[in-house]
Amino acid sequence: MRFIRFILRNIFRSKKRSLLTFLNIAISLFLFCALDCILSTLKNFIHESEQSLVLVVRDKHSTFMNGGVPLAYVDEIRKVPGVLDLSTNLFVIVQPKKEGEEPIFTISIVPQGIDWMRKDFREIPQDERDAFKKTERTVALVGKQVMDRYGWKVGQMVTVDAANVNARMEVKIVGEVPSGIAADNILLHFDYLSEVLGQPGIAHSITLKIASRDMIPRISSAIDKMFENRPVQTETLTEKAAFSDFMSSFGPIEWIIRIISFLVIISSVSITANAIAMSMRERSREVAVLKSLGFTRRLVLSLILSESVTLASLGGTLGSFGAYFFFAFYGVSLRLGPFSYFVVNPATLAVGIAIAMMIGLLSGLVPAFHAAQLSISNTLRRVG
Amino acid sequence: MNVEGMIKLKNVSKEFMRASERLHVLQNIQLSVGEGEFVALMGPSGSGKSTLLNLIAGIDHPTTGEIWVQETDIARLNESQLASWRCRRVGFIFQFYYLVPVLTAFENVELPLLLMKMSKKNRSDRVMTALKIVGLEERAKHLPSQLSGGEEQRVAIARAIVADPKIILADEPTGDLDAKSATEVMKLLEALNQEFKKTILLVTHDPKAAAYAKKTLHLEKGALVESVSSIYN
Ligand SMILES: Nc1ncnc2c1ncn2[C@@H]1O[C@H](COP(=O)(O)OP(=O)(O)O)[C@@H](O)[C@H]1O
Ligand SMILES: [Mg+2]
Repeated sequence: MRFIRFILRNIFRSKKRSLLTFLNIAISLFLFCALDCILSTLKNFIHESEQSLVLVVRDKHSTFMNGGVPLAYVDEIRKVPGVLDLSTNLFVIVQPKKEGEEPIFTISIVPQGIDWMRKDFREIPQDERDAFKKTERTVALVGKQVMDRYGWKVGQMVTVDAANVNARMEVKIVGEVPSGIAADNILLHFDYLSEVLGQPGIAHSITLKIASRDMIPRISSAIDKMFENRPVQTETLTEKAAFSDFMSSFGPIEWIIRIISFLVIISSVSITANAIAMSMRERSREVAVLKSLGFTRRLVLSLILSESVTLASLGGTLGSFGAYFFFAFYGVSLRLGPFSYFVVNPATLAVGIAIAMMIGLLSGLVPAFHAAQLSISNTLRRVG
Repeated sequence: MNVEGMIKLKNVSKEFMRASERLHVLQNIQLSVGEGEFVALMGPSGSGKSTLLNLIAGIDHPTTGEIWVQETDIARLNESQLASWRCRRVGFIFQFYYLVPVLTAFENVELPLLLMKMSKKNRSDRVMTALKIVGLEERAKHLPSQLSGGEEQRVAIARAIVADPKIILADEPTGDLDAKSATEVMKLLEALNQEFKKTILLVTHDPKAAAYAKKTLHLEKGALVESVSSIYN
């Protein structure tokens, strides 16, 4: 404790070098926390979607928003054992009002689907969901980001035009989707959008509510077999598979990310170790004098280690909290629901700072040990 | 004056190995410095003066022999015992002052006291007393870079005396100073000897510096020769 001033002054002895070391550690820890946060968010999301009791039926040979599953299939799908409920969905892109704005992705669903289709829908207040289900067909739930962008309010009537197709929708906003992917969408009734689009007789996708996870293989193969020899073949997937195929190859990605994190830290150790060794070489005579004043080896060792650990911890704290605030502030998300928001959790922060201390300790160890061992007479003799 | 006193070397030899060759730097040294004495140690460069001083300070170990300092045979102490012994018993002054450049004069002088159990107030009082003795209490807040060479050396002297050791060992303390600063430093050592009763062993090249001492010893080819009045005059 008495030596705190001594340690701090020594850290800032060579300001440029310390600053560079500090930044190096800060950046390393920023990367570490960011990578860890991305990993855990992906894992969370996978875990969540693995829990979900939802399957998606698509037109096997169509690309997104082209083709579709004929509505004639719906009754047959409904009869498949294990299917509890379903929602037919149509998608349309809404023309932005002003040039340069992002188009709004608009999803239409069977109104009851608002209660079970997606986790992020549960964040919509119950009374707003009820309003969406119970009132007439020309109602909409609008994502918060869209509301903010256009300055819309709940209760307002709005008119929007579809892009690329001649369709105009006039709907009353009955609620707001606060978060998740739909925070950037408009949700409509399937019947209404279907009518506006001139009754195409298809759904871009059909979302199934199923009884249990165990039934997934049976249900999906039953459905896909049923339509094998029909004009439109289907593909029934879990939500996870439907959202992104890369998730299935997540294992190697996790390893790559872990290895990158590890290498970042190793490089940081070597850079820090070099900086500290340089600083100690310049100070060897001073250290010899301290020893001649009665500083023991152990004290010299711990002073130098404290110096490197303090510097590294400061850098690590900046980097870790930097990552925390970066993700908190920018709200980076996979846009796949409430579990896909990147958040650096406190455990990662703690691990990050602990790693920074380890970096300090490891990189200070060799120079500190050298300094503690150096012979007073030999060191001072070199000049005197 | 207790001539038996402070420092007593019995049959001290020191060898160094250099390129597998044995270098006999000190051979069978017998030395006795009494309490309150002020002894100058002279001799040509490479004659082993610093080596001798380092042995007395417990910075180096003798190859053979006993080194008694205030009733302790320091050749028998281990490194950590020596460290704590040194911090209370001897003040060492080097040719190059080696102040910690990032600490103020006050903080540099305070360093040896940080090794002792002492209240902050007590510490501060002792540091200021030491700085006053060397005439630099006004410069307490200055960094070494803001001081002249002579002032830096005086801060180093304050650092050497702050723990109130009975013995001061000075290895060419004026070697790097101009004449005026050198005189100031020597006057200071003289005062420490006369007013504060410090036992001083001074290694020097400079006959003018040696003249402040009451006794001068010569080290030649590893052996000590006593000379009462300086041969350089
Ligand atoms: N650690 C050491 N290893 C090898 N030789 C040394 C060592 N220390 C001192 N010497 C040698 O011992 C001799 C005396 O050195 P030193 O005591 O520094 O002389 P002085 O201080 O009188 O100039 C020199 O020849 C020096 O090179
Ligand atoms: Mg010498």
